[in-house]
This record gives sequence, structure tokens and C-alpha cells, in this order.
Amino acid sequence: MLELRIDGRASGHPILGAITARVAEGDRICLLGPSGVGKTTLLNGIAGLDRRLSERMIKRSSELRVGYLFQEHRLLPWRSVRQNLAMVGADNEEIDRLLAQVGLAGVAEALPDQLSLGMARRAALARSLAIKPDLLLLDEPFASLDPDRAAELRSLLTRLLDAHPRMAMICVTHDARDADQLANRLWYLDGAPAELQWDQPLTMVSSASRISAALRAPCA
Amino acid sequence: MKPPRWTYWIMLPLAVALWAAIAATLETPLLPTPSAVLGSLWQSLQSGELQQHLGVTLRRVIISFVLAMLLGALLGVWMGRSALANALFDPLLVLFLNLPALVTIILLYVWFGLVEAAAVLAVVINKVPNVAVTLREGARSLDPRLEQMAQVYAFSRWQRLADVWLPQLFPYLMAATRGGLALIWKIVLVVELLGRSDGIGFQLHMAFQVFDVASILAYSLAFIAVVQLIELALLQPLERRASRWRAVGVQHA
Repeated sequence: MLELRIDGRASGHPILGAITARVAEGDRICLLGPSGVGKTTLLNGIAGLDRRLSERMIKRSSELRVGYLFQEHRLLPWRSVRQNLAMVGADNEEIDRLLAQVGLAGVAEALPDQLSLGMARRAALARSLAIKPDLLLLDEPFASLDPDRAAELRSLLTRLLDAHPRMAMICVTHDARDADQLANRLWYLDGAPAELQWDQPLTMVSSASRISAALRAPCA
Repeated sequence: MKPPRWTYWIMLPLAVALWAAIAATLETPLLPTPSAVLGSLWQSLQSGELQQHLGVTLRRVIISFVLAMLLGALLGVWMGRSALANALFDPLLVLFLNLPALVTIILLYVWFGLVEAAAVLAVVINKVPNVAVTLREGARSLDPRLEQMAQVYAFSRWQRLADVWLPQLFPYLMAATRGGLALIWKIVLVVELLGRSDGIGFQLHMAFQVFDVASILAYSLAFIAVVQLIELALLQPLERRASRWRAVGVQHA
């Protein structure tokens, strides 16, 4: 059961300001904002990696399972893809199923550094799903992929999200197209200390151009 | 450019030839010929003396090596991870790094008597600071991004140690091992010379009393050969096995 609240009104954090938000089951949030504003800091806080944030700002139940796709793959380079997935508790059958889902069925025994950037990222995505997360955090999952690979990964993510309707997602991105395809809710983080400039639902008819137009508005 | 393999086999035979030539001209027992040294080696092999003393010395080397690596690695990793531990122990480390091995050996023999425990302890005290300094560097170089990953995915203590830390610390452990073996066996010989009644160091002491240079050289050669054997048969295969994953990364980079 997903329970996550963010309340930064009294946190005194140097980067993140008075952010208040709730994340519920099935939320697909795209987190946008200028570089260096604190998007990754917020994700780390939600993942429990920033002690100060997790004590004063993030209220999450202790059983909350978080899958985190970091900007780099962060697989153990001395373990095969299969061993990396097994490390987080998946059995062999699950591993085969997950790797097939992300299109890596053939490279289970390969070492992470033998894979291309896109493949390694999909392997890391498979790992973040292997723990059966209630909340999936994605930190710029499409960065430094060529347009075709990025489009592939986007549709893969869409399929995976459809397959796990209860799972919530927060995805940091710079690209309005990601929001259009993946999100049902949009966060925009800006300012110093950073605050949520807006938090609003996306309707199904929204388009990339409308999101981009909306994004320009608060900055203007 | 890598020089051809045969270049490796020039200086040693040259040195032996030079030694043989000088020994043949001087004809003094203070510089025996290579064949006389081999003869002495063969003799102590036949009598079983060499194996016995070599075994005793090797046992001391192994015991003090294992103890020093364990304590040094624990201390070093702790100091590398905790600023407080580092602040507390760094002055002691500096003190012990600069303490001459001979002083430790003499003091321990004076305080505890000429016993085995004092001998081993003296070697361990001499080696622990070196291991700790090397492993402290290793612990400081642990990748914080993998630490975060291990935290998010709730790795157990054992997984963190065996699967995240150990592979990263491995090159530092190997460096400490290499330097450790070379240093420890030399100190063990001094310890034996000063206060034990067996081992290579003791035999060297006896040979020194009667100026038996052939025996001194024979025992030294035997020990160098054993240490090289450990390097070739144990350390190098271990290193190759453990760093296989590094090679694949290079292909892709």
C-alpha cells in the first residue's frame, strides 16, 4: 500500500523549499524543472538516501518498496546481469521473465560493461522492477540515448506501467514528450530554494505542445 | 613498446656468470662458487634440515601475515569510512609506521621473553600499519553511487561486504598482500635471528658464527624461490580471476 507525503514547510533544507505533495497509487508523475534545481535531490530524499530529507520532509511508510533507476545503471560491474537481479531477491524464473520484458533475454549472463548504454539501462530498469516496487523512481531515463532508442524505451515503459496499474511513478525529465506519453500528472520544480511551481493532472488529450506552452508560462 | 621476452633472461644469468668468474679467481671460502652453493643446498635438503627450518619460518610468516592482514584491513577500512576513527587512530598510525622493526622486536622480547607469541606479535605490529594505510585508501575510494544503490535495494550487510565492497577493495588487498609478504618474511628472519632456536633466521645466525657463506646463500636462495612460488602459484592466478570483469569494460570504453 502506497503512502507517501512530502512536506517541506519546516525542513530548512538548503536546496528544497516548502514543497507539499502527496503521491497516491497509480500516480504517473513527470518531474520537470531547470537543471540543478534539485530534482535528483528530491528523488534521493524520497528513496531514503538523504537523511535530513527523510527525517524532516518525506513521510513514507516503512514497508514502501522503491525501485530506483539512477542516471547511471549502477549495476555491479563484477556481476552478470542475472546475478545483479538475483541480488535484489528475484528468483531465476522472475529474472528470465523480467529480462524478456525489457528485451534482454539473450544477455542474462553478460557483464554490465559488455552491454551498450541503452541495454544497461534496460537491465537496471529490470532490476528496479525485480523488487516489485510500489513506487518507481526514474532519473532522466532517456538521457544520452539516440532518438530511436529513447522512443523504444518510452514505449517499453508505457507497456510496463500499463502492466502494473497500481504502481506509482515519478520520472525526472527535460522533455515534454516524455510527460505526454508517460504521465498523468505533472510537477514543475523551480526557484531557490526550489518549490513546486505547479502540480496538476494531465488529461488524456493533452499534447506535447500544450505541455511545453504551459511550461513556458510560469517562467515567463 | 613491449620489449621481447628474452630480455627478461639477460641480467640474472649475467650476474651468476660474473659471480662464478670472481669466485673462481679469488678462490676464498668467503665467496663460494655457484656450484658450491648448490652443493650446500643439496646437502641440507638431503639431511632434511632445510625443509624443517623452511617449514618453521613459513609457518611464522603465514600466521603473522594472516593476523596482520585481518587487523590491518579492519582498522584501515574503519578509518577510511569514519572520520572519527581516522582522527583517533591516525597519530598512532604515524607513530607505528616510523617505529623501527628492530625496536619492536627487542622490546617485545624484553617484555615477554624469547617466546613464539612475542616473535609473531612483533611481526604483526610491524605490518599492521602498512596494511591499514593501504586499505584506508581503498575504503576512501569506494564508489558512493554503489553505496546509494545498495541502500535503496536494501542489501544485507553480507551482500554489501562481499558483493559491493570486496571487489572494489580487491586491488588494495592485493597491494597490501604483495608488500606484506615481502616485508614480513624479512622481519621474521630478524625475529628468528634475535630470539628463536629454529627457522631460516636461526640457521643464518649459526652460519654467520662460522662464516659459512655457502649456507647463507643456499638458505636465501631457497627462501626466495619459495616466495616466488607463492607469487606465481597463488597470487597471480587469484588476481587474474578476480579482475576478469575489468577487461571487458575496456573493450567497450
